[in-house]
Amino acid sequence: MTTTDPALPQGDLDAVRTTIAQHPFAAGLAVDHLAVLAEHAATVVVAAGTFVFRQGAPADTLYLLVEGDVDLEVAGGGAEPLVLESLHGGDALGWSWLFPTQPWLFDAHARSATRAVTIDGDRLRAAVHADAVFGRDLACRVAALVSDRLRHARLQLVDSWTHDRRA
Amino acid sequence: MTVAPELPVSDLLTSRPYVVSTVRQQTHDIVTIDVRPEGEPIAFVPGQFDMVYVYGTGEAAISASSDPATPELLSHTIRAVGGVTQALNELQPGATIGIRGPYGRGWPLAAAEGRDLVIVAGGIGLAPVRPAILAALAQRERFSRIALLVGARSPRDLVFRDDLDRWTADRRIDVHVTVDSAVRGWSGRVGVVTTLIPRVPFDPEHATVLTCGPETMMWFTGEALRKRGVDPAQVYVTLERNMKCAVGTCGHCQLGPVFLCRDGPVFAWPEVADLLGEREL
Ligand SMILES: Cc1cc2nc3c(=O)[nH]c(=O)nc-3n(C[C@H](O)[C@H](O)[C@H](O)COP(=O)(O)OP(=O)(O)OC[C@H]3O[C@@H](n4cnc5c(N)ncnc54)[C@H](O)[C@@H]3O)c2cc1C
Ligand code: FES
Repeated sequence: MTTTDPALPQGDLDAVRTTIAQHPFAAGLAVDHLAVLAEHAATVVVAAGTFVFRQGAPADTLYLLVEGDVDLEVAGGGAEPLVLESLHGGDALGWSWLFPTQPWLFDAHARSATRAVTIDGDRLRAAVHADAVFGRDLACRVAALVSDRLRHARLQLVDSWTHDRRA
Repeated sequence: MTVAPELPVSDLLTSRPYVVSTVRQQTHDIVTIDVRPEGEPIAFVPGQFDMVYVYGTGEAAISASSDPATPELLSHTIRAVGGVTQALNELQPGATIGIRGPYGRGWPLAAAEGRDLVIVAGGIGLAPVRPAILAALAQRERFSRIALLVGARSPRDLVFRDDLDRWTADRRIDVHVTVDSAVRGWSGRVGVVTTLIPRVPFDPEHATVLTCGPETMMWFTGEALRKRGVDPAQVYVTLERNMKCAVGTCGHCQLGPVFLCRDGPVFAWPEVADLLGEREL
């Protein structure tokens, strides 16, 4: 269950901006670019044991996790869901908003009560296209995120390939 | 780098009888075998390996995984991948095996003194660094921070769980465990071991890192450490290739210009960065 974060009054742009500025994803971001992110942001709390989002739903949000633990899971064929990665306070989640009409490929399940800043993907995409400097900066941050996740996925793949050898 | 105590060549080539005292199942295909020598115990330094001989089957290179302070109780942790390692996995207490060694250069614990000591282990890779952890904890005041980063494919592939629990409760060492994947209910982190590197508190400019695991994992670890700002010369890896003589004469373990048994198995990253992933000759 996702609710607004009572610790951070909605509409308090300064508080949201400060929370974003302290997040590693936004490290070194220009002040006016921070303001753009804050303009499209909300702060939420996701209860432990509930879903941040479900596989197949439109991937239209960037999540900046502030506190808590979120498991990215694949549920297959009635078997217990398999956790492929856990994300924690300080991690960013979701880049599909950069491209319109993408679905989430995983379930995101809050293992513990999770606080996050959510940024509206459609509006963020519009801002990225409207301002080339902001767009480039944000695209580079997202690319770094994707590159890290790709590395992790490759190592994960190698680990499972080499299962029958020494690992 | 820590070097083996000098033994006469004849001693190095002769295997001695050891009696299996305990067999501990670590995972479905990994056991730890504790053995006691029939004669005098032989000291080893963390990171060294032995040639372990199952009579009638053959020999395999296996790193010591026990406390170097108690050479009278020597342990090896073995994953069954073929004839010899499978036979080692099937040993029962009371069995006698042959051991020659110890061989090779160990972990550079002395060079890490006064610095942060970071240990990154993947899967059974925890076994060859375990003696270094025990030795570092026995002389804790010589190091600044000690951090242990452990990765395994899944919770059931974690080895030395008792140690991990004990060390997690021990404030002298900062333990981080992650698995590649898990089913719901696992309360630890999920992600490859390199995901820990940006998060764990240590000073990259004053850190010495020991890493042991599959070569791909060590390669990715080296990259993540470089990104964090660790000097590659302060990153040490241990390599494995087929071994025969273990004393630098047969050439079986040759990798480019180095003989792993004589020049390794522990190397500083710059010594072998170009060789990681090379196939056997
Ligand atoms: C310095 C050193 C330290 C080692 N320490 C340990 C240890 O602590 N614990 C442990 O379980 N093993 C360790 N090994 C690896 C161990 O020596 C081999 O797994 C063993 O020799 C395999 O012998 P075998 O007769 O059981 O299998 P074989 O019949 O020789 O091989 C069976 C299969 O395993 C593959 N294989 C063999 N050796 C390796 C290897 N090193 N890596 C990946 N695949 C391999 C072969 O290609 C083959 O496919 C170490 C190796 C070295 C060189
Ligand atoms: S095993 Fe013979 S030279 Fe190394």
